Amino acid sequence: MKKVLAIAGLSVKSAVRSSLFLTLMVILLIVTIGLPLSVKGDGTLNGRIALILYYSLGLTKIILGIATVWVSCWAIAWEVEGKYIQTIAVKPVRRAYIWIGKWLGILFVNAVLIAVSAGITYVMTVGVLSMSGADQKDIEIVKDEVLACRIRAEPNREDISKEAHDLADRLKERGEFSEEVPDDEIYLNAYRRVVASKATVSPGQSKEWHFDIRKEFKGSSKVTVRYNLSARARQRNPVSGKWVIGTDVNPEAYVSKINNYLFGRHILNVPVDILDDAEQLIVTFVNSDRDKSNVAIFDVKNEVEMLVVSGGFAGNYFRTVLILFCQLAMLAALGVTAGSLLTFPVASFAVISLLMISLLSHYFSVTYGEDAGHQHQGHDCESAQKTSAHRLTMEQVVVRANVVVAPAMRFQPIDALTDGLVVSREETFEAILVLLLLYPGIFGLFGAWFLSRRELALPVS
Amino acid sequence: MSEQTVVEVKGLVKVFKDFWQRPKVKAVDNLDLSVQRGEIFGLLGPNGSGKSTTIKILLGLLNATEGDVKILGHNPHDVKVKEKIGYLPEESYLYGYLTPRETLNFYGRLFGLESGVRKERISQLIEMVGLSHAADRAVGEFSKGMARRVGLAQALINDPELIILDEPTSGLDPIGCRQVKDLMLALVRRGKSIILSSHLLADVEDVCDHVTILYNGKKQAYGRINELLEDSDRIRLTMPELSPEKMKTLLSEIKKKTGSTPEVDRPSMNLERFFLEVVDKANESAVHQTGAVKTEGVAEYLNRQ
Amino acid sequence: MLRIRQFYTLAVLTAVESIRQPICLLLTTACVLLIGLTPVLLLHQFGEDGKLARDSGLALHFVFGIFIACYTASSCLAREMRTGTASAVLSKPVSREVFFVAKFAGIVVVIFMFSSCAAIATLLSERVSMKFSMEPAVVGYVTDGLTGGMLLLAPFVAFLLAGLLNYYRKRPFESTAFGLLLAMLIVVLLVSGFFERTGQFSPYDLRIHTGIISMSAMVTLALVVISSIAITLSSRLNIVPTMIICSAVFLLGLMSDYLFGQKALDSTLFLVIFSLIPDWQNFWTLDVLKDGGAVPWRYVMHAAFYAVSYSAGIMLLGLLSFSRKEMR
Repeated sequence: MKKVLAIAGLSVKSAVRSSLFLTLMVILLIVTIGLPLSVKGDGTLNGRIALILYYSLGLTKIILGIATVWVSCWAIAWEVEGKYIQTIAVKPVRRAYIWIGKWLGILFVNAVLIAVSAGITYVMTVGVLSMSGADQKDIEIVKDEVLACRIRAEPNREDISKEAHDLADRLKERGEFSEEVPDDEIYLNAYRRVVASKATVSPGQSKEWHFDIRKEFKGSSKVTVRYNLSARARQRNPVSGKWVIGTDVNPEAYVSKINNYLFGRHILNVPVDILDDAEQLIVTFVNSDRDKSNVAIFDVKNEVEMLVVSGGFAGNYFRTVLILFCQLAMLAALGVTAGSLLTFPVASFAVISLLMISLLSHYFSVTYGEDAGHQHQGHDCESAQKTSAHRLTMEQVVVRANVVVAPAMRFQPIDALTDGLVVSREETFEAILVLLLLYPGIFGLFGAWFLSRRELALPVS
Repeated sequence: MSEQTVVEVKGLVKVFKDFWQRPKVKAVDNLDLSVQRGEIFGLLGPNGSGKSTTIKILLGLLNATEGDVKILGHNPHDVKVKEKIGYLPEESYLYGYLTPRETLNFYGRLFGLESGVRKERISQLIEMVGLSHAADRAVGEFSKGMARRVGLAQALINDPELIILDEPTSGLDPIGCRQVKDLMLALVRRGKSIILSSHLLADVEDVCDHVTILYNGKKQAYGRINELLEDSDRIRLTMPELSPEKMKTLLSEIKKKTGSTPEVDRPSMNLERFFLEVVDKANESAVHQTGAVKTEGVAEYLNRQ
Repeated sequence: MLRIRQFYTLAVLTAVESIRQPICLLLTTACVLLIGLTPVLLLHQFGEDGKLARDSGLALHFVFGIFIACYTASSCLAREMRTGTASAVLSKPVSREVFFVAKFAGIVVVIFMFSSCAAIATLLSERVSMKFSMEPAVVGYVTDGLTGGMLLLAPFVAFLLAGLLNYYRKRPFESTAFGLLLAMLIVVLLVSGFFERTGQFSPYDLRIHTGIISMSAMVTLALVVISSIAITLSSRLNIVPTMIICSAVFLLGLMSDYLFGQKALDSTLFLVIFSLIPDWQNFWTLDVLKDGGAVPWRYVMHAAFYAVSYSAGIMLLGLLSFSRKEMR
C-alpha cells in the first residue's frame, strides 16, 4: 500500500506543480461563478435556480470529464514516453501498483476539484436565491420543487397488450396496412394508439390513477401529485374539471377544482395524514368541461406522478456529487488502462471513441427499448421472425453492446437533482459499487496485464 | 549458478522487430556473461553495441528474444529480486518538479523503507553527492551533471547488493567522475557487485576487474583488465632525475646487456589528477558555489557491514 | 530571402512531423469512414435530401479537426521545447518569430490536408445519401451505392498501398497512407463524375452539392483559429493543460452567443469576454445549404477576415510569450 500511495502522491504532486491543477481550478471557477451570474433561465426563479444547478454541475462534469480523459491517458503514456517509468519499473513494485497509484492520484485531484466546484455551486445557488429579491412565496416554490429531495412514484400500469393486439387485428382486417408491413410494426402502431387514447379524458369522463403507498412514504413532511398536460394540446382550448385525491380507506379526502388549465406541469398538494393507514393513493380526474371539444390530453409518457419529500437537499446534493465523482473515477480507470497500452494521443482517441460508441449504444438501446418493450409485450415468436433482418441485426448489436455499457451509463443524478428528485442512498451505493469498484477493477486488471507484458524500454522512433 | 555469481547470461539474443514482425535490428547476438560477487564488471563498447539493451534485459525492462538470464539467481521479471538492485539509467529520467530530497523519498518509499531509515539515508546520500545546498531545489532546474548525481543517489537508496550503472559519469565534471569511481571502489570493498556500462575507456580501466567488449551486439573480448592490457614483452623503470653523464652511462650499459636502446621520457601527471589539485586549492579559498560541491567519502550507511 | 527559406523548411518539417504521428492518420481515417457511413447509419427521412449526411459530415469535420488542431499544435511546440529540439534549432541563425510562425504554418498545412479529406468525404457522402431521383430509368428514392462503395473503399486501398510501400520500400506508413488517402478520395470524387446516382455510366458531370465546399472552408477557418489558440498556449503550457483549455474554449465558444452575446450590449465586461472567446456560430451556417444553397463567398471572406484577425491577435500574444520563454 505504501508503494501505491507513493506513486499516487507523485501523480498529485505532478498535477499540482505543473499548471494542470491551476488551469482546471481557474476554468472551474469561471464556470461555477460566471454561469450563475449570466444564466437567465425561463424567466421564473424556479427555472433560473434549476438551470444554474444544471449548467454548473453539468459543465463541471463535462470539463472534469474531458480533463480526466486527457490526464488519465497521459499518466502512464507519458511515463513510458519520457522513460521515467524505467526508474520505477526496476524497483520492487508490481506493475499493477503503478496502475493503481496513477489512478488513485487522479482520483484525489478530481476529488479536490469536484469538491471545490460543487461547494461553490452550492453557495452560488443559495446566494442567487437569497439575493434574488423574490417573494417568500416564490422562494418557497423553489425550495419545494428544485432545492428538494422527493421520491417520485409512478401509478400502477394496466396491461394494455391485449387491447393493443385486438386493435392490431382489427387494423389488419380493415386493410389499413399493406401486406408488406411486418406484424411488429402494426402492433407497435396499435399499441401507440391505445396508449394515446388512454391519455385523454373527454368532457363528462374521468380517469383514475392508483399509487401504491410504500413504507417510506408514511411520515413524509410533504406529498404532492404532479400532472402533466400534453404540450401537444397547445392549440386546444383550456381544460376545466376537478381532481379528487383519496385513498383506499378515504376515497375523497381532497378535492380541487381547476378552471381553464393550459398545457404543462401542475401540482396538487396531498394531505399527508391520509397516507398513514392506507395502502393505495387514488387520484381521479373528472373532465367537467361543457365544451365537448375540450378534451384533456395528458403527456403519454408521464401522465400523473406522485412526489414524496424524503430528506433534505444538502444530502441529495452530496449524493449527486458523489456519483459524479464515481463517474469520473471510472473514466480515469479507462484512460489509465488505455495509456498503459497506447501512446497518449492514440489512447485518448480510443477512450473518446469508446465513450461515443457507448453513449450512442445506450441512447439507441433506450430508444429501441421503448419500442421493443411494446413490440414484444406478449408477442409470439412467429411474428417476431418476420421482423426485417436489418432491424433485428441492428437491434441485437445495440442491445448486446448496451448490456456492457448500461450499468455504467444509467446514472444521471444531475437530471434528478435539478428536478428536485431524490438521488437515493441505494443508487449512490450502486454507483460506488459499479463505477468506483467494478468497472475500474475490470479496467485495472486489463491495464496491469498490458503493463506487465509491455516492454518498457523499447527504442522510440 | 554458484553463490558467488550474481549475474549469469547464456546465449542472449535480442532482436527488435518492425511492424511486420520482420527482424529490424539484432541488438544482442548470442551473448554469454558471468558477473561475480564483489567485482566491478565493465561492459564496454561503442554506441549501439548492445550495452544498454543487455542491461535493460537484465532489469526486466525488455524481454530476451532467446537465451537464459539470471540475476541474483532469479528471473529478471521477479519483483522481489529488485529489492537488491540499484540502477542508474543512461540518462537520469528524474521528475523535474521534485526536489532531490523528494525524489529520494519517493524512490525510498517504493522500496518500502521506513520513514526514519529513509530520512537518514536521504541526508547521507545528498551529502555524499554534494548537493546539500541544492537539496530543496526542483531537479528540473539542475544541470545535467547535478541531475546525474541525484540519479546516482536514487540508485543507492536501497543499499543494493548489485548496482547497475549505465554511463554513470556521462555529464559529470572530473570531480564527479573521480567521486563516482571512488564510490564504486568503496562499494566493492564492502562486497557489493557493480556492472558498469561505459564507452569511456579511462573510467573502465580505472575501476573494473573484468571487462567484456561488445561490438554489433557480439562479445569481442573478455577477461581481467590488467591481463588484457598487459604488454608482457616490455618493462618500464622509473627513477629520480639523473645528470646527463649518468644517463649516458646507464643507457650504454643497458644497450650492452640487452642489445637494444631503451626509450626515455618524463612521467607526466594525468589531466584528471592535475584538475583535482586545482579544484582542491580553489576549495580551500571557499568560493560560493551553486553547482555540485566536491565532497569526501561515501554515505555512512553504505559503509556499514 | 534566408528567412523565407527558413520559414518554408521549418513549416514543411512541422507538417511532415505531424503527419507522421499515427494519431493524424487515425483521426482522418476515422473521420472519413464515419462520414462515409453516415448515409447507412442514420435513418433516412423523406425529403431531407442529403441534409443529415451533410450536417453530420460537417460536424464530424469540425470535431475531429479540433482534436487534430489541438494535438498537433501543442505537441509540435511543447514537445520540441521539452526535448531540446527547439533549442537546437534556435541555436542556428533562426529567429524565434520565424520559428513560431513556421510551426503554425506547418499545422495549418496539416489542417488543410485533413480538411480536404473531410470535405471530399462530405461531398461524396451527401451525393450517396438517399434522394428522390427523376431520372428516366428510376423514379423514386435512390441511394448512390456505387459512389458509397468507392468512398468506403478508399481508406482501405490507401492503407493497402501504404502497407505495401512500407513492406517493400520501407516508406513511413503513416505519412504515406495519409497522402494516399487524400489522393484516393480525389480519385473517387473524379471517377464518380462518370456515373449517375443510379450507377449508370453517363456523360461527365460531378453531381455534387458545391455549397458544401464553402461551408467546409468555413469549418477549416474555425480549425485555424483553434490551432492559433493551441500553439499560443503551448508556448507556456504542457500538452495536457493545452488540451483542457482548448476543450473549454471550444465549449464556451459554442455557448458564447447565448451566454455573453446579449449581455455584451450592456456590459463592457461581457463585451470583452464575448470578443475574447471565438464565436463558432460565425463559422456554422448550415441552414444556408438547404435546397442546394451555398454560403456566399463574400460571407466566407468575412469569416476568413475574422479568423485571420483573431488568429493574428492570438499569435501576437503567442509570439510575445514565446520570445520571452527560456529554453532548456
